[in-house]
Amino acid sequence: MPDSLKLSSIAKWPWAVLTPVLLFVAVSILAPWITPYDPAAQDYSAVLQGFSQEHWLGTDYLGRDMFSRIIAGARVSLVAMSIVLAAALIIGVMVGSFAGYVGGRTELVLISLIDIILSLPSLVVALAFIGIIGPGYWSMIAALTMAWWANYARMSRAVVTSELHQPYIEAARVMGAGHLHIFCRHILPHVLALVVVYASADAGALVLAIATLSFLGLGVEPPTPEWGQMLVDGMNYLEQYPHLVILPGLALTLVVSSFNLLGEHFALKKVPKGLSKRRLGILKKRRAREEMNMLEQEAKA
Amino acid sequence: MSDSTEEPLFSVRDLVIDLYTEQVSVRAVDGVSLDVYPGEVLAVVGESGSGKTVMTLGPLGLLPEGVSVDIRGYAECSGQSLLARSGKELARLRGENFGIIFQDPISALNPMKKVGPQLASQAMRLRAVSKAQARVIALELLQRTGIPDPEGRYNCYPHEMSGGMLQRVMIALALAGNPKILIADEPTTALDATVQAQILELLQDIQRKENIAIVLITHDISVVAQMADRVAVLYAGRVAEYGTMEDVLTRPIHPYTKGLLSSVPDFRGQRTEPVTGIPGSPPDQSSLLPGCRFAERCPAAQHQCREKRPALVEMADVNKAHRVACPIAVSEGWGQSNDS
Amino acid sequence: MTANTNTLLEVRDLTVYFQGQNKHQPVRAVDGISFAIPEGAFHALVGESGCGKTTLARTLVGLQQATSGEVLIRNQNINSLLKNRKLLAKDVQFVFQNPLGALSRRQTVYQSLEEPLLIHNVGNADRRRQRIHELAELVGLPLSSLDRLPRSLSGGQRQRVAIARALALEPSILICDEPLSALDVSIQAQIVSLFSQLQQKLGLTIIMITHDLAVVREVCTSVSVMYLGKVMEANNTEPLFAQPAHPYTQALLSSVPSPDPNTESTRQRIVLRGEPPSPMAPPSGCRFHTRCPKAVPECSAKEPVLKPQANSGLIACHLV
Repeated sequence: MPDSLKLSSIAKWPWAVLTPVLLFVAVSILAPWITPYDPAAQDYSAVLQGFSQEHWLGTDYLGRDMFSRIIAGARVSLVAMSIVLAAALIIGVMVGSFAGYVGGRTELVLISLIDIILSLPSLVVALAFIGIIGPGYWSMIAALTMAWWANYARMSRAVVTSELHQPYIEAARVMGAGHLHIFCRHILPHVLALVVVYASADAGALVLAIATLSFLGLGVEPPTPEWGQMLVDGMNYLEQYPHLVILPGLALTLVVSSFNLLGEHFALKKVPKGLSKRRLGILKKRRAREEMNMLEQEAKA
Repeated sequence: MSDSTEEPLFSVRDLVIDLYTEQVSVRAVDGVSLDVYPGEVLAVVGESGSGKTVMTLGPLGLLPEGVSVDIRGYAECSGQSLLARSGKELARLRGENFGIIFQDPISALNPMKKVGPQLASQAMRLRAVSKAQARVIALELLQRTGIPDPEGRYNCYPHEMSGGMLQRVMIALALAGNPKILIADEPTTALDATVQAQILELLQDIQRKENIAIVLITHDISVVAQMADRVAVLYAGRVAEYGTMEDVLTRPIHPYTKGLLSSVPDFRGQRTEPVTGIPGSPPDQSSLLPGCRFAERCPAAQHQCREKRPALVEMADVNKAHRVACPIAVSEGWGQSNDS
Repeated sequence: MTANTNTLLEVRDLTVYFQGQNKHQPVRAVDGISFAIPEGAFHALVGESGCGKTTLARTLVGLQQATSGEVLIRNQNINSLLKNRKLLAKDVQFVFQNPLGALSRRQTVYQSLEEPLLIHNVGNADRRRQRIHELAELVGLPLSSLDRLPRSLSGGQRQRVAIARALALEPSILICDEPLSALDVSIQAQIVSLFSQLQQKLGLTIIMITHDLAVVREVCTSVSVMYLGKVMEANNTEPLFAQPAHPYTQALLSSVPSPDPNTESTRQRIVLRGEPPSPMAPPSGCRFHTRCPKAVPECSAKEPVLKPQANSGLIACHLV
């Protein structure tokens, strides 16, 4: 990624990373209270309007308030994303940990399955699954879960296999600990610490996938305001009313990139880098003051 | 060094090294002055956190990445200052003067390349010779470091060699630039007793035959006893005691040196009282406090020890080369030292 | 060193092989070892890396499966004890080489010490707290350290935590795998004296794996010297250090430099040629013959057995 350099320089600042993500979550949760209009209410007296006092971001071809729809769309994305992430996490952690813990042939079979899923683009896996069970909101959730769990499973298994042979696990075995004790008390916390961080960074890709499936008419169905759905609606009016496409597109871009930034932030945290010049300067000054203090005390004595 | 007329090869004066990370600021080296003379073995002894490695590798720009380093004071090699140099200049000075032997050869060698070509490319870079000449030099280095069948070993990968062999390759690599000083950072810690003996023998051989100075960074008093001419005992970033190996090991004056020596059992001779070690653990070096760093563990500590930093003073009446940073022990005289 | 009535731990013809890269050539880490440890002994297993001492130690606590032979604890086979690990845990405990790795980096000292008590359902929370405080005092840990994480402790304190945890269930046998090698010199001495105090106070039987011969001389009562999966010599500490009989023991003892410069300058060194051969293909006959300064033709032909000597100890050498 050529712009990864820029991303990483922004990603150093925790507030710059967290603010957009928190904003998205807050807006989604508060959506029913902060939308000025019912996002589904049609108003034929005010179709395809531009920005105005009554409709800040204009209206679509059915006269629905764009501002309200964008906000409501955020909620739909967040809910769908949370369900998929939770399901994928639970399945992934369970399958991956089990494979890593049991080892042997079972592990080999499960890992092959995981690798097959991971070798295909997630969207292709999801599309194939929808092809089998048919389109719809819940089949989209199921399909995305199917496409996403394998990633967490592989990570969980990697953590389990590396932790399993650590001396502290052996120490627990020597103390007489059973498998359940070792797994719940020692291994699961390590698995979760990694997987949850990864999942939070991965959320952006999931938002995009939800929008994509809905855009293709395979996910969220028409009356529900959803960004991918809104893009499709807006396509017909692209030339005269580009804001109908640009606005949901912009919302999507912002959310996806803010989650990606979060991921970058976590990735950076893992790699210790030297301090910035500014920070180093502050620390050096502090140290110099300390030294002065020490020397003064010694001089007095 | 008043008894030496020679110019030091490598010297540091009032060296202070602060290490900064996001979490802590550590004063790793706190005002150290030392000289290394041609052909001598200077042992820098200390426990983990004493600053022995930071002190030697810091001025050479060889501290691990990810830590911000602030070096003050003065460090020079063959009359040229090492501090405030660009990376390139420092690398050149380092290549011309120093050879470095790390504790763990496997992480210092490239696992993907055969050892011979690694040696040859090092020789090519440091001696500006042709590829063919570099190969000859590499083979000669392997021979010099006592590797049997150098031609055969030339084409071995690091993982195909044993720990002792790898440490020999590491030494060969350090010798590739014809250094004046070898810096050996715990060169035998990872090795077994019988192999350790071989490696120490080799280092001694190189030092005697080729008159290369060695700075031996170690925590192992036995290795010091076998190898060193002079010893600097470091505690919490400061020199506690400095002198000839015989002076420091048989007539230690500083309470820390005494404690350190009494922590090391010797299985030769009579079985004496069990070793006790030094109570407590090394101090937290993130805060700067007045006084002697060893005071809280010191059996002889007095009020003044916690107030004023002890100066490193010469034991004038005995041997000017023997310096101790403990006014209390110095005033009591060295007669009470535990001459075992 | 002979089996007697109060033998606590006995090993009979123990072999432990690992599957190496080559299927037909297993790594013979432990290759036919027998010994008996009486109650209250402080026994040392010494040898260079790759001699199988750590594998042997791990087999004694069931962390490693024996390929053949038996490990008996109070005349009970370890395999039957392993059916209920909790039972074995109350009798045999292990101290690992690197305390930082052996303690969970997410658990405070208190949680680490509480763990064995929780596993064995010892008492209620108050009783456990009391026991943890007892343990901390026993090993010399300040109570203020109980709420800290391992990484914020010094090396010596970490090892004290690991030892306290091993003692939580009041075992009778403590097996220590290089418990000092990760520690600083001045701290090593503290831990060594802690071990000998604990042994006397609690009547423990300790088996310590180490390469530090000076420490062995300091605290151990008896020693087995291992080379390439075999015991070369076993004896009480005093005679072994005074008159090492096996050429390997002699070389091993002579290779250790002395911290005293006067002794050091007069030390007679037997520098062995080369390095230990691969445990995948140990030499024929006596395993040590390829490096032995005294080897005779018989040594490469016939394997010497570990046999009792007239004066003391057991030695596996044709020349003794």
